[in-house]
Amino acid sequence: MSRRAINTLTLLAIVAGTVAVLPASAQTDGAKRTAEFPVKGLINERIDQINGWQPRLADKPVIQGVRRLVPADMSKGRVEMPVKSLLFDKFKQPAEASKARSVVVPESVAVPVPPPAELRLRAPAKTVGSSQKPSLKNRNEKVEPGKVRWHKMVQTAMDASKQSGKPVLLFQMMGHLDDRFC
Amino acid sequence: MFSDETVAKEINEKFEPVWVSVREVPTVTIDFGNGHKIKRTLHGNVASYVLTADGTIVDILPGLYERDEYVKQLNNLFWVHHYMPLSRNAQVFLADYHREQAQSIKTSGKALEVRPFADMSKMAIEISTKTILRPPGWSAGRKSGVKPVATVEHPDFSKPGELAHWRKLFDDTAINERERRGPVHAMLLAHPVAKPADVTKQLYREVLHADIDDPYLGLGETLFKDYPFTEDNPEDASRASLGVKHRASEGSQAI
Repeated sequence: MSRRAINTLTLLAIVAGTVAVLPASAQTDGAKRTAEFPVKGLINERIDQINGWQPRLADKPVIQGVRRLVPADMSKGRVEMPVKSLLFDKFKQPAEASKARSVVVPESVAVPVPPPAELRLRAPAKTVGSSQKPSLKNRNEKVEPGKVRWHKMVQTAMDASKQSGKPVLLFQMMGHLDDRFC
Repeated sequence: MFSDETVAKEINEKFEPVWVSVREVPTVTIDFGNGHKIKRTLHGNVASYVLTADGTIVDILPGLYERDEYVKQLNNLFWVHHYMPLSRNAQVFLADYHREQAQSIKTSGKALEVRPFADMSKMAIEISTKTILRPPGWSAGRKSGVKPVATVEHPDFSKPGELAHWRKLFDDTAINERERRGPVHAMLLAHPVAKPADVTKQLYREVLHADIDDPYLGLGETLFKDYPFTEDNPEDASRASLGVKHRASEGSQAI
């Protein structure tokens, strides 16, 4: 075999080898895309979930390790759909967002759905907590200070003591005995 | 306590009662930061003075008492007041009374009891502390079948009468009698024929540990001494932490 023929065969072999290696390149490329463009992966995943796609063993790519690339992810329509879904999620609370991913949202639903009642913005706590009840000051109205017949002033009690011969009982305190909360 | 029928009846029958406020009651507010706040008054700094008609102090019950002990102690003081004019010298009688009570509390932890109706005995006896004071527990020994009062840890305050069985009130009563009455007797012994205005500040500062001249009621040291964020403290906090005496607030009453 001439040198030329040998070179030609080698070249053919290299070309054949390239073709054979191509899936491996695709694997690398796919992994790279998944790794470097997590948003893509997210979009794919979202599309899958929205379409109700569940990975099955048969759906696994022939080449191990390659994530299933949704061919339609390059499609404009497909790319936009998750955006609508994301907009929808914006009106959800974080905890609710994961739940929302499993919800099948028709493409036609572009208008944000009102969040559930329990997730709606609540009124400020101030209006809930404090203004419902009157303050202590308001509640601290004057009351009858027990069943004891109190004199209004010390001097009055002392004058009464002179008359009755009874001792004076002077009750000293902080606050006021005739306050409801003293 | 003054809503209790027994207490009210005893006071109305035997005394000319009057109440005064020495200052506004301190309150504590906790803001939980979520719109919820609770506000509570700090109570307990009370004193019951028994006075003669001219305002001379016969004796003082410091702090809160449980119902039965309060009635018993008021009854004792009623009789001390009753015997004063019957003694040879009321001032000496009163001084002897405080001296013997202080001694009894110091040695036994309990005050002596006052014998009632001593002057109505068939045998005319000279009224003196020797003849009217009896050892602690004397009256209980004369009564048979007296059951100890059942106390409760957490009373239902919505039910009338539950407060009378509150264990904390009984604990406070015991502390008042064991630890506060003694200094009160010593103080009154040092200030014969004192009027309430003469001893109120000392009573609150030294016996009840709530200095009414101090805007922080003597708690300044506890509140400010080890608090690192001094910029949060009020201007007079540093003085309070050093225990500097504060000028009496204008609002506080003299009596």
